[in-house]
Amino acid sequence: MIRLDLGTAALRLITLLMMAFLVFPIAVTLVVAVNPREFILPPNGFTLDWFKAAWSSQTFLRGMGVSLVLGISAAFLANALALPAAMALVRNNFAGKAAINIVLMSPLLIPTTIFSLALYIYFVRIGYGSGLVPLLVGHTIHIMPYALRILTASLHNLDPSYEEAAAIVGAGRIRTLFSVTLPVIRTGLVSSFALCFILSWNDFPISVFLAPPGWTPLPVELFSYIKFQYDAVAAALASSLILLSALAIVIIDRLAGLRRVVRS
Amino acid sequence: MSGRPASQYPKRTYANGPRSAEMKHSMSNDAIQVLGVIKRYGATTAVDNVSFNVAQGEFVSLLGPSGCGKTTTLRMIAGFIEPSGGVLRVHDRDVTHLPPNKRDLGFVFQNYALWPHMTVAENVGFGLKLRKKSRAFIRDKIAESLSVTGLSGYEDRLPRQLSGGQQQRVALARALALEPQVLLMDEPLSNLDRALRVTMRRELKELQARMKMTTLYVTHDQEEALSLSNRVVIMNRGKVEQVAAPYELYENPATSFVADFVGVTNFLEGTALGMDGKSVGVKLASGQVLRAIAKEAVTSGTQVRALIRPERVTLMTASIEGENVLTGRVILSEYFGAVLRYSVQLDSGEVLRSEVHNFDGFIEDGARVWICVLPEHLRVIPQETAALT
Repeated sequence: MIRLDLGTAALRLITLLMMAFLVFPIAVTLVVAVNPREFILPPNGFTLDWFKAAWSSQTFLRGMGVSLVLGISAAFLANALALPAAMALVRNNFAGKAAINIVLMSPLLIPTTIFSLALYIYFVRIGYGSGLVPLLVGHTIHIMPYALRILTASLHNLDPSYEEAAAIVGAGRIRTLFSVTLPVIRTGLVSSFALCFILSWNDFPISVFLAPPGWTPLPVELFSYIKFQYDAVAAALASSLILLSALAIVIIDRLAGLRRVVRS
Repeated sequence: MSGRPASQYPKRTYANGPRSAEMKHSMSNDAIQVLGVIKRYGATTAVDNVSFNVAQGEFVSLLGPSGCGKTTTLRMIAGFIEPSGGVLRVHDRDVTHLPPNKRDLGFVFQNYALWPHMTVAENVGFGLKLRKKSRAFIRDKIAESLSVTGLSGYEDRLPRQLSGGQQQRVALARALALEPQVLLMDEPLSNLDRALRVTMRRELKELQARMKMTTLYVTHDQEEALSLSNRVVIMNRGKVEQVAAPYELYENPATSFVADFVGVTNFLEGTALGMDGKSVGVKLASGQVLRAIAKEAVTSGTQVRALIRPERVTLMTASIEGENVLTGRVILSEYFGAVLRYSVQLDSGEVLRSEVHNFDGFIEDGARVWICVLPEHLRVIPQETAALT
């Protein structure tokens, strides 16, 4: 009995410590962001000055705009590319299917920094260097495996008779796709889009290599700021992003059920 | 044996070409023609040279055990599966290689396959919308189809808010709304509980008779097939065993498989003696000779099986003499209220099952019984087809 209780207690303790370990940096960031004494803990009051400064910085706002446009475009593109691939992989058996699957998932296997550098060199060689197109391409390739995973899982769960029923009443392939397939897997699509957007929004290495001057996404902007400035504005901005991400997760959960996203 | 379709449905050859309007009319008598259709998956043949037809307005069932190829055949007619060989015709149009959306068929799925994001009305009206019908027409047609299937008032419900039976009615309404040339149904009642299945079966029969809709119906439930159909196609291991009306199927099974699959049958093995018209002698292992009826010629000296249905095995407790009398002992008696079932071990060793009505009295286990088998109740089937089972 004692051993069992000890085991349970130990498990609880370890679980709590692990959770604290995960939450601690976030908590510190949040505390620093509202602490009037810059970086001196414990805080001696509460202020939103750092948030005001962060949210009135033209550089940050512009970076946020770039990240937003980039994230939405890349998420859209990645899903548009992953969907036909997922359909082909789920519904057909063909020679080289496993190999194609591995190639499509390979961006996950390569460290992002190496991948970004390689992509940068490639674009320089073909005469682009950094630019909007390389930036978008980089983000899209990076997040596509995630879209492929989620969409593949959704299509696996899709009963093929839904599409057959559409065909038999006269719908062609395109009509079936837009009127039946996509609406039926929409929770998967929303999850995939949201996850892709968050991944692009948080990405740093690809943007560092490929973003052209004047089009710096927020994480890179934040990094440059931290390099030269030592104040809590960065912490406030980081806190804002954390809160926005948390909000996004709540929205996905409400819309699609977080469990589904995590499981796939 | 691949059934008799080849001889039963000869290819139409017109020496002088189809001239008269009458002849054209006779051409469209068959709503569905399945001609030598084959489906192979690698080395296995799921559907092996299957041929049958469905006449205009007819209700035909494909009946067989699971894996016999009946659903594959239906799905090939619908266009969901590409045949490896053969020809499929719907109203004299070759549809073998047409995609399903060009075949003008109705299909009711086993799992209903209602689109979960559309309301009942949207489900039923989707095909009409694709055909660019006017809004008023679509609205009227939806109302009509739902009233036919008894679901008026459910227009705005979503499929998940309906019971299984209601979902199946929507699926039927969706198919009927388009007034298809032919209605295909894939075990539409098998997901319902038994009581509902029987109710729906009756409604379906009534509806089909009223609308005279040509229907091809797949089922593994012989009760469904026998009670609903004008004719039944019995399939086994990818092949057609017999195509016949329910009565013919039960009374004159062409093969042992059909006899065994449809209802319960007793088999007596023996050797054929000479034929006299349709009457043939069957010499059992015990040496006794029974007179029986053969539908097709049997060669003298070949191994045959004589079939007799349990309800034709009448037991008597008093000694009788004469031709076709078997003797034995009751080894098991079961009481089922309206009917009694006995197992009788013949003196020659075989066990016969007998089913009698309760007003015929009750025979104790172990009692000695005499059975008089009328030749017209004893059907002879050659052994080589019997070897299939």
